[in-house]
Amino acid sequence: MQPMGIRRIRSSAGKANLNTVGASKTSPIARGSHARLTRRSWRVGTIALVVLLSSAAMVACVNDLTPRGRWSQPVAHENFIYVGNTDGAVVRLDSDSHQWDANWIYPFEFDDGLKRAVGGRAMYGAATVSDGILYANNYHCTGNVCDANSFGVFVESGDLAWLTGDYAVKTKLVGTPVVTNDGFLVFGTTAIDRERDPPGYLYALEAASDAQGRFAFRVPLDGEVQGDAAYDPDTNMVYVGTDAGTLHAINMARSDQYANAHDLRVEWQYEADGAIAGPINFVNGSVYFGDLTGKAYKVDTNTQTADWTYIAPAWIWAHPVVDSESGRTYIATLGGHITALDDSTGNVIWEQQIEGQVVGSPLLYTRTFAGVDQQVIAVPSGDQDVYVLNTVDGGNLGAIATGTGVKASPTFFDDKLYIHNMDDQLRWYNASNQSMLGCVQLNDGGRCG
Amino acid sequence: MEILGIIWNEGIMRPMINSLAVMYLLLFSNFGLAIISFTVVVRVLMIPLTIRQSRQMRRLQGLSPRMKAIQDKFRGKKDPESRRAQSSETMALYREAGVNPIGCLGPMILQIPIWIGFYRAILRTMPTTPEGTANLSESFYSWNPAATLVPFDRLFLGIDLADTVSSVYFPLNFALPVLVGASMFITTKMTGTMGADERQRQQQKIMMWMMPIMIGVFTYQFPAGLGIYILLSNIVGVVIQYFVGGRQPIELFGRMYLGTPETRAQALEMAAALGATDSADVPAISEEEKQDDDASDIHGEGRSRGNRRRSRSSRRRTRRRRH
Repeated sequence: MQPMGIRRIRSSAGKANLNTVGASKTSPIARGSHARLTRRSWRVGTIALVVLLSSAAMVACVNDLTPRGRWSQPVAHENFIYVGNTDGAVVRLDSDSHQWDANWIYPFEFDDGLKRAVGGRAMYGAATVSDGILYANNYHCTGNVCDANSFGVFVESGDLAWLTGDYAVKTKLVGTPVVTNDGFLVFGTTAIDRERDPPGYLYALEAASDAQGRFAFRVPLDGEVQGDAAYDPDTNMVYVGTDAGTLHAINMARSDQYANAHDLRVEWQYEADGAIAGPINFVNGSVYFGDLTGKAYKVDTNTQTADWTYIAPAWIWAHPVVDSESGRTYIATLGGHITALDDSTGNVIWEQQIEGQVVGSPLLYTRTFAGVDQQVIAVPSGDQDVYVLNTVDGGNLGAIATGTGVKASPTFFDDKLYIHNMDDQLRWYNASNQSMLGCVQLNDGGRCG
Repeated sequence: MEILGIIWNEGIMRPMINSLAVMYLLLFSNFGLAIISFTVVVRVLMIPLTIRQSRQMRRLQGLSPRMKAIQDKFRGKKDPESRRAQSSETMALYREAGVNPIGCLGPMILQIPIWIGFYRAILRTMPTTPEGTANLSESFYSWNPAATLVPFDRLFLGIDLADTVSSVYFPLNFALPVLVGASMFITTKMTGTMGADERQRQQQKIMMWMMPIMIGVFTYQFPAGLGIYILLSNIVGVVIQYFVGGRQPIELFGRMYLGTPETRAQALEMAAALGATDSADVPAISEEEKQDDDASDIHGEGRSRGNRRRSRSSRRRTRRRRH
């Protein structure tokens, strides 16, 4: 703003001067007033900017500390889709009618006679279904003091089979639990008491309903576990990665030989260059994973050495996806880089770049397009949309509009793609033409989209 | 709002996170040492702001007796005319001394985003949620070698820096909030100005006690890393303020600590002047204060470089005479 009687004119040299109207020379008073005003408006502007920035920062700060979940991948079992919502509860949807099952939800409380999710907990991993029971983990934290639950729910009735009770897991349970041949429910944990305990454990609970989730054993690890463990039913081995950068191969046999020394269950270890934060994938005798230095690994479980490693341009969270038929492995990074590698050599076949970070592991599926079967890979972007790429050359076949970012892996079931987005909606799409077929809000079952 | 987010992230958060990470790399992968050294660097970089704030505070403090005189002059007069006159006399006094009462707050307000930024940088470099870890990847510059060291080791002297102070081992869980409160109290004592009238002084005294107690109580629930940062920041701030503020003595519970004989005498003189009720006893503002170079920043008009030079040399002469 300028004082009255002063106007800004541009000199022939292009510099801005301040002249009083009708005066040939610049008045010192006018110059002083203008300078004062400019300084004042600068000062007011700076203070306003600082106040705005500070308020924005304080709001963002709260978001940094609160675990919110919404990374839970939908799981298809029989005629239902199960998914963990932002309240940390598992809900289900009929895969034929796509009706929300209001009577099947856990954990819940009754509200006017209706089941309603108990809020305040976060669920990142997917649910696991085995022998008629659905298993899942959730947790909540106040500051850095956390309390986690592991539970089993009868798939048929939605009744609780068991809830962690005879022990407390005062930590974060992020990964998807795994059920072993011997009936253990297995998952990795983050630190329980960082100042006194090992930084992480692999927990094993009795999964059967009559065992009530009883604590079986735990194996101390050298770091926190945030990703899913992988299981090889043939050898009864669980593979789990820690943020200390170690892949542990752990024997899950029900045997007395480990009675007082469960650390002996660790049969071998592989040291990665950086922290292993994401899930592990086990395919055909090899373990695939990425780390936070941006390196992807294929480790042969027989030789316990890496067949190949690949250095990506950004951190890797999602597990590598392996297509045994075509002999290709797909790597996705937090920087949005997608790379197809030759699975036997680790050589690059093609590279592609999408917007946003890839947290959820991509999904390989075959769609029928224009009457022809075509193999594609769906890559969830944490920014927005799920990108569909041609597996042959990485060509972009279009994006599935998801409304917001997606950090959960998509699920393919009955020619449909089920996608859990960051607005806590479950959307389903026609897998062939990528058109949206429906959407449900996972916290209350309301229709959306 | 999007542009504010970009300014915040690119201008404050990313540089801070990357600096903190580089210090972690250089200081033996010890996050505690990284916080300590970064705090010292930030406080040292902010010395110009501290100097500016200190000057303004001192000038404002120097005006207190004359402010009090103006208030006494208009005491009991509540008509609009008197109020206007009081206001204009106060403003004239500020103008004459080259003081802007809001100017004292300016540097303080400018420091706020730095504190908040640092607070957030600490939390973001030690993420407690999976999304925090994933988002951290976007905060690092591609050239930063420290990015490969994530997650950073959060243990320092047996304390988990990301854990709340209340969860830290005894007696540090109680000692840290008390030390934070005490250091905050000393900082407030050093930087605070005394109001002109009794009521103002009472309010300031309450604030002087309330703020440190509040911060101390809040610290109990803060992450330990932040508690250490606030404590260290206060200690470094006290040291800097002491030297920048011309070695003023620190008055605690009726006794004076530190300071030089001159500054102690000045402080006593000031206290006596504030106690005096007769405005005639009030000392006038010294020529030195009047001609302070920063006055031109507030008024802007008619102050030439020559004047400023003369003012500086006059101050030097005055100092020499004192010695």
